[in-house]
Amino acid sequence: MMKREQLEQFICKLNYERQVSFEILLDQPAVFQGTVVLPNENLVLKIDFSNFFPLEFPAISIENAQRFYPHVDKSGMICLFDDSSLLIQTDMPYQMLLDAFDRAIDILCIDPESDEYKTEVAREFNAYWAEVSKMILYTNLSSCIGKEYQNLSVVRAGNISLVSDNIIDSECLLKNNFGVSLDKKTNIDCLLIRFRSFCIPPIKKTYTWKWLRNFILKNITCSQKKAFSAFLAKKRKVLSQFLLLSIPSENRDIIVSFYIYCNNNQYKKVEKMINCTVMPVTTRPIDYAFLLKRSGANAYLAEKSVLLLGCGSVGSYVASNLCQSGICKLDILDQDILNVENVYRHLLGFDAATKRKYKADLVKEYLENQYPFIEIDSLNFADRKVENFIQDVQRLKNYDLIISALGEPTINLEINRILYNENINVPFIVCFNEPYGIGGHAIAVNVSSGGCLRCMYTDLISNDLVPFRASLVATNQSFKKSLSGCAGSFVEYSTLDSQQTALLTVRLSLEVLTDQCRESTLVSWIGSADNLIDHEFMVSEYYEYIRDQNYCSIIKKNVPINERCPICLEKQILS
Amino acid sequence: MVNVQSEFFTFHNQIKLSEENQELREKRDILLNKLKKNISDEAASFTSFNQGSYAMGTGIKPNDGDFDIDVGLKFDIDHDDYPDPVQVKQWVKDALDGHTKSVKIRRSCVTVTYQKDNDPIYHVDFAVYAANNADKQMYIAKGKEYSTDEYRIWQLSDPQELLNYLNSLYDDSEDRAQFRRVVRYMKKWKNQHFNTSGNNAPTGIALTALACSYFMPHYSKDFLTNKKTYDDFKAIKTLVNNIQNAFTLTWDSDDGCFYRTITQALPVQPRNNLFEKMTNKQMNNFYDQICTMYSKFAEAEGKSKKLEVCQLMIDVFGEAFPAAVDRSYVGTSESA
Repeated sequence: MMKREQLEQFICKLNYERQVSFEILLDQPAVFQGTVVLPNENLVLKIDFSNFFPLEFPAISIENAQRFYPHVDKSGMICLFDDSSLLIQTDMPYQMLLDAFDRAIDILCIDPESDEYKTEVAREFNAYWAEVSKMILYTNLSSCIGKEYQNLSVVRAGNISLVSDNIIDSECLLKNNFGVSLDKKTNIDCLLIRFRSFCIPPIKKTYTWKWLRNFILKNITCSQKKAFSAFLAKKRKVLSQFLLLSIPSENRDIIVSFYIYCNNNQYKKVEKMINCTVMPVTTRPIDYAFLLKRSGANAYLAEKSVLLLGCGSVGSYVASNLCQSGICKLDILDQDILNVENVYRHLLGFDAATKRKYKADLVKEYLENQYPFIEIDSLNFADRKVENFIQDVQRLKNYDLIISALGEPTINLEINRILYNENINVPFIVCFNEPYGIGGHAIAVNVSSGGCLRCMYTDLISNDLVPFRASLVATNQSFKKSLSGCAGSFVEYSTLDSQQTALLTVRLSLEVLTDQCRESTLVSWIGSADNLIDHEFMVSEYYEYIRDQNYCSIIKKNVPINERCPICLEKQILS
Repeated sequence: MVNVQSEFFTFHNQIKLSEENQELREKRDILLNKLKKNISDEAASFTSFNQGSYAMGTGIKPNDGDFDIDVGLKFDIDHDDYPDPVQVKQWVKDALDGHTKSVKIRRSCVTVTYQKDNDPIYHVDFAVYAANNADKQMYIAKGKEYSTDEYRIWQLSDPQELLNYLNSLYDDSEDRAQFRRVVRYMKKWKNQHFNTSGNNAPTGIALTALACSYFMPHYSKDFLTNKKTYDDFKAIKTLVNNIQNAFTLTWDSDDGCFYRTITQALPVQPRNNLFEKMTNKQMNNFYDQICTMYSKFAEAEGKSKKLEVCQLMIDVFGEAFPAAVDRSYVGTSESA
């Protein structure tokens, strides 16, 4: 900590330069207090140097706050800077004091009538509101936002209160995502009223029903007043009511919620009820658009329907990443059961593997629990065989994207053939790992132009089928290992390889779905060949070429039509 | 069409006369040492260089086992000072005489033959040049010991010029390598389908010159590595098609019929027609063989099985072309 004498010197200098008069508080060695004269008010401020000054700015608080200030919490503490976004020059401690003081004055001088004030308040309001709230209400109201006046119902179960635009959605979310039982659920009336313009209630520790009624009436339109007055005129013995005030703001309405409770011996008009308990309620939006916006995802993807073939090591991470990116409709086809030996390179862990269930069902269960609003179909009505599933051309046409994480080139090429021959305009992405951490690929075909998947498996001077041409390992090597016979054979790669491949795949998927990828594209990540070479395998010429070119670890290339490709050739002849 | 490039590579390795052929090189060096040691004092000084298909990298192993190597000897003389070129060739013959059973002065060279059980196993041809002429050109000594004067001549010739010419045809050494492979295939085909006595068959240099005129490198570029993948099948098929088209109909008054004939000049001095020694009928036979070869290539192109394509190539090039088996699968390193 800095010596008190030095801090006093800084404060003296501040008093002189800013024409203020801070004095040290006798009982506290590093806290100074003084009055600051602002255009419309005189405020008593406290400057508190922590033990860590100058590693952090001194804290400044208001001792006599009379109104709501943005960036000021209920204890009067002013939020000066977002420290995490600053690199502090700690060898300039006096300048730090000056900067903190000037910033505090700037905040306190924001005119309550100005747009800046509204923007700042809107940005910070929920945080300050949470400090005075005693209840939490989860809201799933994306379809109600912007509505002027609406009666809703809050469902409360297992100490969780949730409001959606319909009760069924609330119950599903409570059961599936909050994991609470609905056996003892209760429904509580809820009224959503949208203010006609921006107006934030003052943040107080207590509110009265009378004050709240008047506050609402002052800020709503005539037609809303009529409906609200009808509500106030209702006779009730017990009033248990949520009020959600939707306040228009710069980006998205701010929801300010109250819970009003009153228990009378006899029926009374709601308006006339006295002794009501009025509690500020913190709202926690969990609607799709809000959650997605926080993650930077694209809400446009909610309507897209994706078929994922295979949810093993790569596929399970693809599924998870797709959901987190905003995909809501996902069909997963996989005929394998999750075994315990899979767990170190699968999204799901040991507890899931001991259930001896299909991977697709387990991944569906896991992701639907993790992310609300996601509908996963694990296609368990069929025999789960890809070979059968892909025969139904009409069904394939329903998807916006088909992803194969099967790691089976024969089936991938058959899907490619069907898509091209049947003119099914659904983009197709194939992803897979290469052994021993040397890399992985995602390739998007059947987009607007470029080669098909067979082009990458067609010889350059004949139409011979050849191994994947961008493979990083030399051909004619067998990488299968077995610890327990043919059925248990596997190729060595790590979960990091799978996750890396899955990331590339999902990024490419999003580009395809948002129409940013209009040409067949190959994306490869390139790892080290050391492990592969240690196991006495050889890299491909392509890998050597990349290494010689000093390429970065991710390579993205458009895939041209291979003139020898029988599928593209036939398509050209037909067209 | 299936890919038989690796079979072509195997075939090429089978037939090519390696430039590094140790045994031939040793024989050549022994003879050159002997020549230097034994050449008469009255002979002019000389330097040596490799020439012919061995030097051009278009040599193939002979069917009859008679390997040959061509060596040029550049004598520091002006041909005007030696009106009889056979005199200069005699210096060489005299120096080497007795080294093997057979050292002969032939029309264009001095030939030293190594034999095993009376069958020749190697021969080394020494071509003799006058290299210090007033006009700065090179002249080859032509004529035999008992030739009349009219056959004893110095003919304008620069064998190294042909090598330079070949190297100048294609910038990419890989393209040149394909050119050399295809010339070797043509020579192997010639050995399979022509009686080599007399002028029945086109000469190796004639086939090389045809390739100079009509060969185009054939390859596909890989978009991943920008590397060329060569297609020797396509290259030789196109060459053969072009040669086929180079023939013209000529009326042969002796035989009273039309024959398909061809001319092809050596692309460097003396730019002589390399088919001049073939009769019209022989050229017509050459044309027929070319057509047969092309029809085999056309047939191969329509095949989808490697085995069938290789069988057709064996018909064209003989048993040195490998037979291949088809497989219904290729390996993969993919997993997910």
